[in-house]
Amino acid sequence: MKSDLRGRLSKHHLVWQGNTVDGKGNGVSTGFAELDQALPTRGWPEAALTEIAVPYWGLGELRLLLPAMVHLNRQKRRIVWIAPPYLPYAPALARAGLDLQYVMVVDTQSGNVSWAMERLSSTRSCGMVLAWPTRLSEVEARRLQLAAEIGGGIGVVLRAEDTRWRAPSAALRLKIESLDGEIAINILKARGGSHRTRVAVPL
Amino acid sequence: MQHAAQHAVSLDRGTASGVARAPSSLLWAAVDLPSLALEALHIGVNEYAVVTEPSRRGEIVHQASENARSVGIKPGMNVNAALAIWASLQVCPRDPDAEHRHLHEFHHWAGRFTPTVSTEPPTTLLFEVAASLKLFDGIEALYDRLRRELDQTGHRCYLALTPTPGASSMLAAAGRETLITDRADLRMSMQALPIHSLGLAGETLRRLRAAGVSSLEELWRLPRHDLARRFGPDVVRKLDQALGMRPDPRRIDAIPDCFERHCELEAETVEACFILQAARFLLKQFSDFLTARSAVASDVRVWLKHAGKPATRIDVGTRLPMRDAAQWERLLREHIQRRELRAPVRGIRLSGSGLRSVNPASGDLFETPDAVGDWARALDELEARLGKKNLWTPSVLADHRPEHAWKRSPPAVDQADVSCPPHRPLWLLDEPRRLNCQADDGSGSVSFNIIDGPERIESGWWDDNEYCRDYYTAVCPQGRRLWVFQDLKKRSEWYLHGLFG
Repeated sequence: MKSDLRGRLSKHHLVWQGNTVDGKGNGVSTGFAELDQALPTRGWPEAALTEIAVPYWGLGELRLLLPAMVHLNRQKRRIVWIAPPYLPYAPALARAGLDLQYVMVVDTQSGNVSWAMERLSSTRSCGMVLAWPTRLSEVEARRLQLAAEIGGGIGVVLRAEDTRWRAPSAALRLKIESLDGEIAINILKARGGSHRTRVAVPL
Repeated sequence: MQHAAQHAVSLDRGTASGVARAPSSLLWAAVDLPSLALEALHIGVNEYAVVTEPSRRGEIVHQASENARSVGIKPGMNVNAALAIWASLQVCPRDPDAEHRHLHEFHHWAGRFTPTVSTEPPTTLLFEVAASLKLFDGIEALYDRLRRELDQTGHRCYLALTPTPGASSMLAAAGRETLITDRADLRMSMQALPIHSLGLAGETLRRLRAAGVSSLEELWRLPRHDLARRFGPDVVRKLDQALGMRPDPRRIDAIPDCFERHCELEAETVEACFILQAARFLLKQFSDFLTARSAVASDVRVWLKHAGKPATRIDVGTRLPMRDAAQWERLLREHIQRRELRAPVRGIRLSGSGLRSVNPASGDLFETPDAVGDWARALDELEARLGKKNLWTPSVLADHRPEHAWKRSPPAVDQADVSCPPHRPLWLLDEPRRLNCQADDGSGSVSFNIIDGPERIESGWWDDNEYCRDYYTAVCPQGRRLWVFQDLKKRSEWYLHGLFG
């Protein structure tokens, strides 16, 4: 009786529950079952901004994103890297299964990172836009979230842990740590999710 | 959109009032620019100035400004004679190129009304508008509109609309503004024209004058047969053509497929907003030009002119051809803001090419942002702000040496099908970084543990980048996976070359 009532109410959109996500964005599977389970969108949230904090570049953040990139790339959606800290190495990307024709790198100074990301995120052909800003204001982060909503892709800002800025308006905020051979992912915030969790992912 | 609305209105009017003209007849508009030589040199109305041209008698006056004429200076007069009349007279040599450019602008303008346009140098433009009457709300409305738009050009000009090209150009050249739709009225309106309007050879003209003939009316009074016999067949032919009794073919100029305009700024400036303001005007004109031709363009070039220095060229190219003046302006703004201007700007020249006609049915393709157009626009804007070389796509090359196995390509090029070796890091360092340590497999490692390798890469003997390296995958205490190598040629030093990300 009780479940029947709840079903009826939610069918007519009369109740909103904290652990359901609004219909706007779905998830693109991360490729790691443990992580998908822990995320309310069951994957990287589409049409939204994600913040990933890393203590050192190269800890595994790219391998974490790579399966989703390959998946989006197969649908001929573009993957854009803005101001990466090192050179994205073409042979490794091709080996991982990316069609490089749909991969683009934007080299730019810190002042233009947010602008370039906003402009590209709002186009509908981008599947994932990754950016490594050295700083990002709260307003800029909010604008990036809105641009991702327009374009429908996944926006990812990567942050070295020791920098000051945060993207509090991001739909998903993660922190990565190394954990002997695996990496541990702390979910700091997930829109539609209720509490902080920690997931270990083998890479 | 505007045209469609007008079209609907004219259809209503067409059924209500009917069209008085016979449907088969043509209607030629002629625009004559009597002061073109002066205007081409930007000589003001209030100046005492003449434009001169060389002749057998030395330099003579070709055109004189109104003030100069008022003191008695006449075309054909020797320059020295003119200077004797007015000592402070401004004497400028004629610039046929500038005149041609101005006439060309009128050609563009007329192209909005009809594709049948003929420039008749030095000063006349002819275009046939009968087919466009419905679109422009009938003949009176069209005449008013032409007249109004001509007034806005700032040129002194005369407009005549008649059924024959000959009559139109003669009437316009004589300064008679006329609108005639019936051929029967032509003779009446032309009889007062002087005989030199016919454009006869100098000798024939002289003989006619000697015979006491000065106007067309007097010419028509003479017996036709004798006229041909005494003064040559040309006279009769021209008269007949003007009245539409004989065909009068005109050379129809092809619609030019490039656009070129320039404008001078009121004062020299380095302020981007003033430069953009002037550019906006030119871009709007270009956009109108394209609309008139149902065309889109991909190449827009802007030259910023400086005093005493070569002009700065800016390419505002777009990936997809379009006619969106606002988007061009946006790109131009990025270019101007990024660039260091080498000197104050005094003028702007704009040229557009790469024209492509667009099927009217698919016109919306360029108005509504589709996914492809959307992406192309974003790339254009990024390129304009960040520079072309900062946007690239990584692509693979067939080479064993890691540094040479990739390159930067322009975005969205087809990728070569190259097989890629396994065990390559996602990040590559710009330059291998020398490590100040000794690696020790397993026990007692200094800073990293080797977990995979070695992979010997020995290649490049054909150019100067020959090397011999042993690559390993290693893990550092922080948990990062590194791609390191030992340079076997340089005393076995260790280098970091990539991160597995």
